[in-house]
Amino acid sequence: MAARQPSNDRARGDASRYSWIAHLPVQRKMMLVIGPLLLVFLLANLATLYSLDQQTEHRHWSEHTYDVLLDIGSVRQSLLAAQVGARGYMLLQSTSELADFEQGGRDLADGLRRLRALTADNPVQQTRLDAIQTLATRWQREIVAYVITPAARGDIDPAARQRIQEDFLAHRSVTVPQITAVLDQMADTERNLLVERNGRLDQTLALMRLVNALAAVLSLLYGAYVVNLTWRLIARPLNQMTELMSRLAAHDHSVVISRLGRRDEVGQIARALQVFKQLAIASREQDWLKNELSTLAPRLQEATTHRAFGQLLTGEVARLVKAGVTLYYGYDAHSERLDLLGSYGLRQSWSPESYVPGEGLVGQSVLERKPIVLDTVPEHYVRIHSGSGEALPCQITILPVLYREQVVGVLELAGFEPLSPLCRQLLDELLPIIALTQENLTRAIATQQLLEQTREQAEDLSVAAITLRQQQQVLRDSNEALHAKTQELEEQSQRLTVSEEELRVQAEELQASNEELREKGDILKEQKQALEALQRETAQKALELERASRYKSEFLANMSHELRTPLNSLLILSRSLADNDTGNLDEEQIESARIIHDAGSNLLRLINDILDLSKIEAGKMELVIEELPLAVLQRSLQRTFGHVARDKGLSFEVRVDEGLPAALHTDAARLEQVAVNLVGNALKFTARGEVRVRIGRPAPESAIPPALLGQPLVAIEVCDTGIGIAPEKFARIFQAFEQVDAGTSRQYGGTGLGLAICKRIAALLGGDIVLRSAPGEGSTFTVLLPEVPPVGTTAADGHAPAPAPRAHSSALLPESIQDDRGHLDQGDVTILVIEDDPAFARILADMIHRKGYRVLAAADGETALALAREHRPTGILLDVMLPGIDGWTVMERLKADETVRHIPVHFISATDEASRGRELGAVGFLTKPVSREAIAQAFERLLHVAEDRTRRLLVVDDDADARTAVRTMLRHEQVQIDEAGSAEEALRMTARAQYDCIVLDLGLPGMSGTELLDRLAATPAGVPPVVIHSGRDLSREENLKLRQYTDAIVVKGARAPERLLEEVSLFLHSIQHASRRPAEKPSLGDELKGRSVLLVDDDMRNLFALSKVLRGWGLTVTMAQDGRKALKALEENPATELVLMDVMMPGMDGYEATRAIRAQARFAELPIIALTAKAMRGDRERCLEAGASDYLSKPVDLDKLASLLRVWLPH
Amino acid sequence: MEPVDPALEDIEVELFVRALRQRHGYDFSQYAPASLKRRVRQLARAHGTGTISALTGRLLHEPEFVFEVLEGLSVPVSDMFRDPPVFRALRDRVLPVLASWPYIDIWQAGCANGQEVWSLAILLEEAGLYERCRIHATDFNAAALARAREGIYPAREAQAWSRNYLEAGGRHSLSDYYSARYEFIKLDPRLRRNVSFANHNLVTDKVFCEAQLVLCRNVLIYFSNPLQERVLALFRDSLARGGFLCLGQRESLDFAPSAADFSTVDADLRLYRRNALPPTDHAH
Repeated sequence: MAARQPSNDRARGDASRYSWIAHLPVQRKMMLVIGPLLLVFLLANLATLYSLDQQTEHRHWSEHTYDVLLDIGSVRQSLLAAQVGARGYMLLQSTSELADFEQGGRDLADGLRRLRALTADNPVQQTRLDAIQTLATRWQREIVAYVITPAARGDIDPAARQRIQEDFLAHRSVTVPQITAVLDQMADTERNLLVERNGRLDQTLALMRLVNALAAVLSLLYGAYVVNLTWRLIARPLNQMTELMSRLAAHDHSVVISRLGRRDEVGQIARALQVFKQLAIASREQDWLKNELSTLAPRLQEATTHRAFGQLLTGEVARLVKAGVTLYYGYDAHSERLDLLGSYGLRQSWSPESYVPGEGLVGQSVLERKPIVLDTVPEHYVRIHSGSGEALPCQITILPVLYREQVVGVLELAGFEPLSPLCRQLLDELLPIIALTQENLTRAIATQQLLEQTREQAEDLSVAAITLRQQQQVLRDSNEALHAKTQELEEQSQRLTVSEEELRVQAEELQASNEELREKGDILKEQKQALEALQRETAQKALELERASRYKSEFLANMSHELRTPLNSLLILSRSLADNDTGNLDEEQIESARIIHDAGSNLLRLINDILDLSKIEAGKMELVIEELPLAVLQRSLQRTFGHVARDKGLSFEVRVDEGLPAALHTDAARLEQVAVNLVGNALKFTARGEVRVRIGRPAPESAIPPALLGQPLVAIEVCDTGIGIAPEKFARIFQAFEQVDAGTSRQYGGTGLGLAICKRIAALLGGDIVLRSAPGEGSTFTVLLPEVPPVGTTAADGHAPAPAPRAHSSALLPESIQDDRGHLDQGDVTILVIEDDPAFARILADMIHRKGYRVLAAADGETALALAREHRPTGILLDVMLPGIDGWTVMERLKADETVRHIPVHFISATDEASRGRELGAVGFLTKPVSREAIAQAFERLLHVAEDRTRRLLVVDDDADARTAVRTMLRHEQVQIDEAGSAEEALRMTARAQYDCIVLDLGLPGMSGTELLDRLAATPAGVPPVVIHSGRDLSREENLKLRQYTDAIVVKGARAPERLLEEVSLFLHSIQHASRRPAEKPSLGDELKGRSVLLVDDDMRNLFALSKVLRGWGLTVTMAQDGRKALKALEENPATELVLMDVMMPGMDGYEATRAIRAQARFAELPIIALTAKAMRGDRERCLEAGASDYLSKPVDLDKLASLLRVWLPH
Repeated sequence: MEPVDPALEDIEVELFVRALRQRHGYDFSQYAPASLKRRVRQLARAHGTGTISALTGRLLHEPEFVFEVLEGLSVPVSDMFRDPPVFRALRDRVLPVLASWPYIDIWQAGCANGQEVWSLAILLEEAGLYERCRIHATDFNAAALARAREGIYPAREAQAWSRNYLEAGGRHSLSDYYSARYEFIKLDPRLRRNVSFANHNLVTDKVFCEAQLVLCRNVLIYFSNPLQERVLALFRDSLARGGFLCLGQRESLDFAPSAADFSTVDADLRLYRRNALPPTDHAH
């Protein structure tokens, strides 16, 4: 709409700009173009035709001239022939000559006649012909007269002839040459004519050529012009139109359409396009309008308050119509007031907050219900204000918002530009929406308020209802109670009435028997007194008994401790002797020492058993009730005894019957102890035959103790084919310290306590053990357990009875052993041994001395504390059970004293309370009896913690700058840094001094870093902690090789220095490095020495930890990092006897690798043990399905690993 | 669904969890109860079984149904380069340190549909470290793992992901790494060459690798505190010393007992680092 005006102007401009030709329709343009071309063509053709005509005519005239010339020639010949005839006749007078003459005369006349005909159009030639005619006639007559006639008169003699001739010559008036001269003139004339005509023809031809050339040039030029014109007037405009159309189609409304004024088809297209464009713009505007409305409407509906509504509305309207200030007043029908609900761009205080109808224009619009538009805004009107200035708006529009013909609000707009029709349209369509939305909002708010009110009322009501209900309930209750009481009273009164009589009778009787009763009562009182006295006595006895029992337990606990203490020394020393460290004992002595050690070990077992028994009897055995899957029990027994039975050549089977619960709810460890004991016994007492374990329901033949009848039982039956037991001894074997007979004890060994303990444990678990046997026929021990454990099987107090502190006096203090307190030097490493057992103290002192350290010894706490304060030893070994203050107290006092608190303390005690020790801050805890290795480790730990000397670091790098860099980096560390430029130098230096850490570059001249590590590993000191600082990338193989020695590998790079620093500091400061912690691995003896195992795992930590353990057991280990490498390793070492296969590996995983191994026939029997970090039920089955022989959970339990290796490595 | 008595629902959910554990071995008892309950409820609604008990019935009697249940219970929601600042921090602050290890193992725990695995691969590729890396992508949901391996995602996501990628400091264009067809994008399978996808259940399974970086984002939120602690211990044991741990935006180590084993690299981005020394001596 707005765009039409200028475009029309442009159209007019166009019209004047284009030449008239542009306005012609295309058809006429074509005609205009092609017409002149045709004309030129026609003219050229006409010219050519004319020229051809000219040529034809000329040819005709040329032929004519040639005819004339030929005739002139023939006339001349005829003349000459006549002359020759005449002359001949004169000479010869022959008739033939005369005939010739006459013939010549006739020919001449013919020739002349033809010439006359031919030259009829030429008067000059006619005149000449007349002259020739006359001359010829005269010449003929004179010939006839003067030659022929005389000659005809007879013979002519020469004289006569001469005379005739002379006569003729004298008389003749005409000569032949005269005639021929005329003829020549004629011929000349004709020739001239020919030349003239030829000349004219040439001219015509030249003209023709010119005309044709001109026509061609003209056509070409005109053609070019036409092409140009067509391009300008038709093709280009069409192209442009097409482009415009595409742009329009792509919603580009900024296109400017030209050539509107042209009156041809192009103009028509342009005008159509213009219409199209306007339609597109209009549709776009309508789209915009609808779009804005449709987005605005829901947003308005989202408003929950009138203010929010007003704010949103004014903001949106201002944006849509580009108004500078927008205000919205809502009309409140109740108060008949317009309230300002929202404003946009309004400076506060400009406008009043409310109007009444009729007040101001805003109020006026309410009355009029019509829009008010102010086009010229007076000076003091609202100004559109912004940070950069303010100005008067150009137009103010006030629009009443109507809902069902009622004003609900007024919208006021002020803007710099008058509202465009589109904006007007938008507002027109928006106003009903505003009205509707506002109305809805008003209603919603009203509803909300009502709802709120209702809810409050409902709450009040419900509170009231509840109160009411409660009151009702109370009322009802009291009512019922009343009712009941009334009834009861009624009944009672009835009963009373009935029994009144009876009572009365009874009362009488009572009175009679009262006397009797009193007598009996006296007797009873006496009896009761006696009974009470008896009870007191019994209680006293029970108390005494309990005390005695406790004394017994305490005694046993103390005894076992007292026994363990000397045993501790005995075991260590005898073991040391048996090991023959010094090499000065003979076989017999070694054997003796071994026997001492074995006997000591047996004694220790016995003591442990006694302790167990005493715990049970004192009711101090703690039960831990948990789920014990029967399959686990089965597997555990199989694993524990499988190889023992095989060794003895016995058949051994553990079977679990169908129809049992999957798991037992019991103390797994205790039950296992019982089962292990029974099976162990069975194997011990069976020389040949079999041992069978059946877990199932009790066999019908087993005698179930009456206490267990009537509940579901699970039985563990251990059945052997051993020596058997006589029935009379059944009861005795379950007594403590009983075996079948003394001889048995000697033959088979054992403490004789096992069965007693088993029986008591079974009872603790709510069950029993029954026995079926006959001498020589084997025995069947059956453990009966209730499926549901009885309540209260858990014993309350789990702690072993604390040994009573022993009375002591200084006089009774044990004597301390000889120590080094007299000759200690500054800088000596000193260890304080606090131990009241002099034998053990001496062993410890001896070991310390052997390590080259100094010893301080104290046998009691007080002395020890004094020594510690005086000498500040490097470390302390502390016993718990001490005369006077005990070890715990010593520890507490040490830690409370500033001066000695830093000294590391390691417990060595017969009690097993490691956790308490650590809580107090001990670096370690050993339970007696201890092995020498354990003691050595305790030293190590003590010293390691104690070490505070300056650390030494060796930097091995061939680049001096790199060494300096490392030195600079570590300058803040308390560390002495040595440098080596080559591996050889580093080897020399490590031989001379002990280093705490080596920083090693791999690329060295000469011996490489890796070689250096290999060499170091071969030295007795082994490889010290190493941090690899590599300047290049490592291959996986190199990496694997390096990981044998260290896991601290730092590749040089931007952030490498900080990590290098971390790794180095770790080694320098760590008390104990995780990876260097000695593995606490079960010993395996020589059983598996030399067997070869393939270990497959991508987790290098695990790979190396396990390989270390396996190598420690004497196995040969090959390592592979994934399935493929495992296959390759097997290929290379076909003698591998067992594979430990991790399941989760990148590339080829464990399942796949296992399958691949099994696919090879030669490995069909190769034991493969899957290592899996996965613990889901199906995972293990998957391992076995893939072909694994067994599986082991990660992290690997070394004991289990040992058992599995024993089971699976073929003997 | 009609309103259900909450106490009754608790019982039903408990039975459902028990059925899942005893019948199939999947232990959800340590999942955050509120969220688990919602998902079970949703599952019941989705399968039109009406009550959760009916769902439990199907779970017990239809062995294959468990996979649908797992699918329903896991919440595999992620984006490529989700939380771009985290990826930027990985790129700028973590990868340069990782570069100092000769070989880098990365554990993406709970990889779900794999978006983050692929993002990580791209990150490593652009850092020039990928050849030395191995990404272990694990999840307990086999279906999600299969999707993760495929690397096919709806094309409509690609725009937002491209933005994330650039915000995360991407050096090229994300479109260099995928081809789009049929309204889907497929990531370049070459990016997968050092990724190993494996089934691993954080609830039951153990340490399986030594990693320099563990990413586990928005998984712990579904776990109860004891289970979170178990999983964090698992991560601690898996991490090499000095290795990094990256958790989701709503997860943190703040109150976890394992916090002592980690130091904070960036608390806002939930980026932690495994301490070199154990805080207490576990040796016995």
